[in-house]
Amino acid sequence: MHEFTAVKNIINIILKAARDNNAEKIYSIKIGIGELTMLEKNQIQYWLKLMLDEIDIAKNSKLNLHIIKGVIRCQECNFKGPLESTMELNHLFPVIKCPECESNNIEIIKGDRCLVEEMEVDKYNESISGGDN
Amino acid sequence: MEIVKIGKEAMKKNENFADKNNKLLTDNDIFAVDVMGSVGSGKTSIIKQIIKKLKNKQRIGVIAGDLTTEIDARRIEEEGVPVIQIQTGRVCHLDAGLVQKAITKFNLADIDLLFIENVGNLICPAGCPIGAHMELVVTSVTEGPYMIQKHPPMFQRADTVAMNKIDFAEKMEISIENFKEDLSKINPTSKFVGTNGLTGEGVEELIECMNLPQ
Ligand SMILES: Nc1nc2c(ncn2[C@@H]2O[C@H](COP(=O)(O)OP(=O)(O)OP(=O)(O)O)[C@@H](O)[C@H]2O)c(=O)[nH]1
Ligand SMILES: [Mg+2]
Ligand SMILES: [Zn+2]
Repeated sequence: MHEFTAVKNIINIILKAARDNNAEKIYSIKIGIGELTMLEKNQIQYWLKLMLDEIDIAKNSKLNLHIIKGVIRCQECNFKGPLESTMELNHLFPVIKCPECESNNIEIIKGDRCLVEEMEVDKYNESISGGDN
Repeated sequence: MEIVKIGKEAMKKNENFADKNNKLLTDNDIFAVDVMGSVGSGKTSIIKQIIKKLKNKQRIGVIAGDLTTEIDARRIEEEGVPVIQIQTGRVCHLDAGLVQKAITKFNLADIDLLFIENVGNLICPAGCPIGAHMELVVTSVTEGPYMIQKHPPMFQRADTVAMNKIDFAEKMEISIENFKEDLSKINPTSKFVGTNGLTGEGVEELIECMNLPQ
């Protein structure tokens, strides 16, 4: 259940961003999940939803999860671009090798991260919250 | 309603810890191997066999990750090398934070070579770097003929794969060569060695493939 670790981190990132931005209500959260991470989108969606509904300001917020495609640069032939999913081995997981020259001496440019991208919020009225102190 | 840009990575903290571990180990001239593989594939047996062959030449330490018991740590201690046990409780893999705590319990000046036995699991550890210099995956014939095909994330990361329990290959009508071919399709630069964790067969070749300091 490594997704649980990721979800815990995601919640921490969201709550910190909410605090830093005086958010009083979160409407939606946008998260990109790299196809080369070991994270399963449906499982993240499930756990995140369960946990966010326990948090007042995030209750019923909408989750927009999307997959970030893998992009690589080949160290052998200099190819730069998306990975190819080989169906030969019946994988859901893309094979990490250069689609041009088949080398696996490659640098991953995109798709190996889970990114909390942005959220839609209502903010406290700054002047009121400032006046409270 | 307004949009707040965040742009933060969920697993960044682990990566930072992993980088720190790697630097700490490197600064202390320690070469660290993350040993991963399914439950019961032979990780502890192979580590023990490597220790038997190298302990007169290298000062070896072991971190043993396990859910709740200390069984593996005791088995390694029989070889007379220092062992730090990490009990992960319910967590299915080691993370860099847990490993960092364990590393600092060693006297680092007394170690050249460190083996970190990850929790038996062929899936989760693949998503979680811990800062080792090399990744050894120990898998075994008794897990069936499709292990490498079925678990590309783990095998794509491996620097070396030990196909253990080769003594069962004939009984199970499994060809070691087929595994080698499966591996070369998804990870052509990875090394592949057949081993027997009970007798030590293949372990010398494994040590050579891994290019361990001798
Ligand atoms: N026949 C045979 N048995 C082996 C071989 N290698 C290990 N075993 C046995 O397989 C069992 C499991 O080996 P371990 O070394 O404990 O495996 P492990 O991967 O460390 O197991 P966990 O840490 O529990 O995941 C033990 O009974 C070993 O003696 C082998 O090459 N051949
Ligand atoms: Mg073990
Ligand atoms: Zn190429």
